Amino acid sequence: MMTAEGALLVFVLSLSAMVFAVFAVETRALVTSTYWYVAHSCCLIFIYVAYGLYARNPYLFIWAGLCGVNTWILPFLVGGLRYTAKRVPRDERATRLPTAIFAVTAVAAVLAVRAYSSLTLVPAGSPIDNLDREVGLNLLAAVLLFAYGIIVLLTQRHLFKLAIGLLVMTAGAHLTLVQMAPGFFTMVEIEVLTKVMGTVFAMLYAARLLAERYLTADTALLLAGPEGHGEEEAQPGGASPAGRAEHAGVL
Amino acid sequence: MTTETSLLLPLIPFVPLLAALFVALGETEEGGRQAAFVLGTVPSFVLGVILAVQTVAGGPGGRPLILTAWGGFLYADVLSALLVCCTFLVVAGVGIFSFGYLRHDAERGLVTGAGSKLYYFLLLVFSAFMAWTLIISHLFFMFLVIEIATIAVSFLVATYKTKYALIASFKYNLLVVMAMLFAVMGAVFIFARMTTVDPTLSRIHVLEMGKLTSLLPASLALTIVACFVCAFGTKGGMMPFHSWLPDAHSEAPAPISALLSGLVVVVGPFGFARTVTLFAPHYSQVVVLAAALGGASIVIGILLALVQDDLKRLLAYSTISQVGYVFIGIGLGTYLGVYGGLFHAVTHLLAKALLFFCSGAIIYRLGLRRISDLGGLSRKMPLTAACFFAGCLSIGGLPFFAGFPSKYTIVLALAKAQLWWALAITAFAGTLTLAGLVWAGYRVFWGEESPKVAALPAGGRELPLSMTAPMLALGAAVVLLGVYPQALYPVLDGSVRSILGLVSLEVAP
Repeated sequence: MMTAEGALLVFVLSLSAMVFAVFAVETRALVTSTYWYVAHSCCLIFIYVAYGLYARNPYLFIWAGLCGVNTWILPFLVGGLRYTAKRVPRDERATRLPTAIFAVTAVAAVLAVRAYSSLTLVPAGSPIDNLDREVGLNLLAAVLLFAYGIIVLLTQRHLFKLAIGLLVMTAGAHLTLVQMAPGFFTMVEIEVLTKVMGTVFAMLYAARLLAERYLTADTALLLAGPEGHGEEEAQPGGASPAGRAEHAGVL
Repeated sequence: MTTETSLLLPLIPFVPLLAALFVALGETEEGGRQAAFVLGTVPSFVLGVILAVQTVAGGPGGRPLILTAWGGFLYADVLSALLVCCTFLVVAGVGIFSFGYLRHDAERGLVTGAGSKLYYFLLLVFSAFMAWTLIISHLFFMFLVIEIATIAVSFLVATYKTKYALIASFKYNLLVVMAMLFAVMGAVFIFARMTTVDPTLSRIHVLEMGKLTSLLPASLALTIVACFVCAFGTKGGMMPFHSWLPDAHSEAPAPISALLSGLVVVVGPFGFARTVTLFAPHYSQVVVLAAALGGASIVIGILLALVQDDLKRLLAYSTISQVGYVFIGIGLGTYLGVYGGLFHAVTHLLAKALLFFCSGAIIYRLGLRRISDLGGLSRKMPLTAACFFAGCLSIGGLPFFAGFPSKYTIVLALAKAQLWWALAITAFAGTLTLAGLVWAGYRVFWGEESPKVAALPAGGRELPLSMTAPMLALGAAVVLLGVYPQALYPVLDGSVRSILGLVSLEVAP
């Protein structure tokens, strides 16, 4: 069982992680956005360490270590976030829509939880058995971070920001795991870490190729733009105009 | 249930991985890569058949047999064995079809030597990790290998590196990872609840999911179901999680479209059967949810297919529609429903791969895929026309083609479950599917001959043997399963018993 002091520390760190995630999404300069993401990731590491100390769970130190590796590799390795940020045009058309939606969602979630159960800093007993009576603030913060990731993925159009959104969503999933399934961390971490890193590198590679050829990584501009560099002829048969119009509507 | 240790299990993914290494590191020409590809997939297919024979035969006293390896980390029941066979059958077909297709692309300057090398490497890596997906017992590792297979497929989708191909690849990666995060959340909810019952629990075994479902409180169980539906619905291309599917199918090379429609989407129903189906007998809401989403998928998928001018996009939307049948069947959680769902997954896999091969054959000969640009092709490509119509009639569910018995079983299962609205939807959409696909086939092969088709030289060989052989094999399978559907009965029966046996249900048909 975690102490009130530890839970408060984790809550403050979770809020900080959330604020840094918002900055990473909202900042137009992509290199700066990468550093905000690093700050967000550092908060996660501190959360795992705090959890490890207060809950006396040694798995969490391993998890914090893995997250530390993740925090170094994803932004700073060749092909990673900073490498891509330097090669992709900045997000000039960024809107405040994801954060606005998130703010409304967060307020609605807090009100909904307050209406049906009580918000507590340290829930009594297992978090999953008590959801109808009390909800931990830390669990709510973790779920909201997960939700913010989804909102970013659904509203952002810049490929780099979509990758950031995915990472934020993953962070939310991680924090939820910490709340709900203590004792099972290493396996989950390895799984999530490997999966998301591989995918994010693949996505960033696609973003760099597109930016290199079409000078933008904004999907709205990419799909609305002219047939750049005769590339479309590379596709046997070429995609139909109807199909292209659908593309624009979906992503 | 009897378990036996099998040495074959680890070999199945190991063989294609070895071949992938050879392709990646070897300094061979195209012929060497092709030989490595065949040697990497055909032995695994044979191993899959051996597994299927062993598991279907069962343990002592006819009890269901589970083969295991590495201390239970790997397992194979009849369902896994069936899908392993399907995996290597389709991958081998796709690879062999690609021999001619990719050579043609290389001649046109669309694919370089390095690109071709990467193509076969990724195909082999995909097949290995797809096999892992089917035989790994640890739920979280299953999600991991699904993701690695996804990364391989996303690179295959981006083979041509065009704007749309790269965006489709990006979107596919993004949506599937999102989906798998939902699956992880669902699994964590289960784990969080189960550790309060058994603190020593250290992992969730796929085959133990059935026992866990009855121990969960209703609200939590339904939340978990929602997570898994999002996850496997996305992977399977079910509405409303389908948005990756049309783009990926239309931008990938035709053989990869066949792989996507035939095999990649099957992971969705497989995961669904291993998770959501196990909740269906305990919670009627699961059946209604699966039927509603499956029904929406069937109707909206086929309606969107009918308005497409791009042949590959039409087939992609048809996949969304057909996957709806599979999800409805499997989601019912009854013997007949799961049998029909699995059967339709297999018949759709064969027919849709055949149709994408046919679209590939058209692109190979003409470089076109817009239906309005085609017409009167049957005189120039009679074999392709015959195969295309066999595929269309199977997907449409016409008697004597593979799609008929599978769809009919699902309809029977819906009638038995008294889900009349879902039955009406499947019947209505079935008619639309048949009419829509035959109409599209008519416009492509029998309509007025377009100038580009008229310019095509008549006579001579229609396609290279490497492209004709997989098409003919799939065409024959589609007809054979339509005429003699009992051929798959032992495997499907064993698969259904294996799934429903996990929730200790009465499995008499």
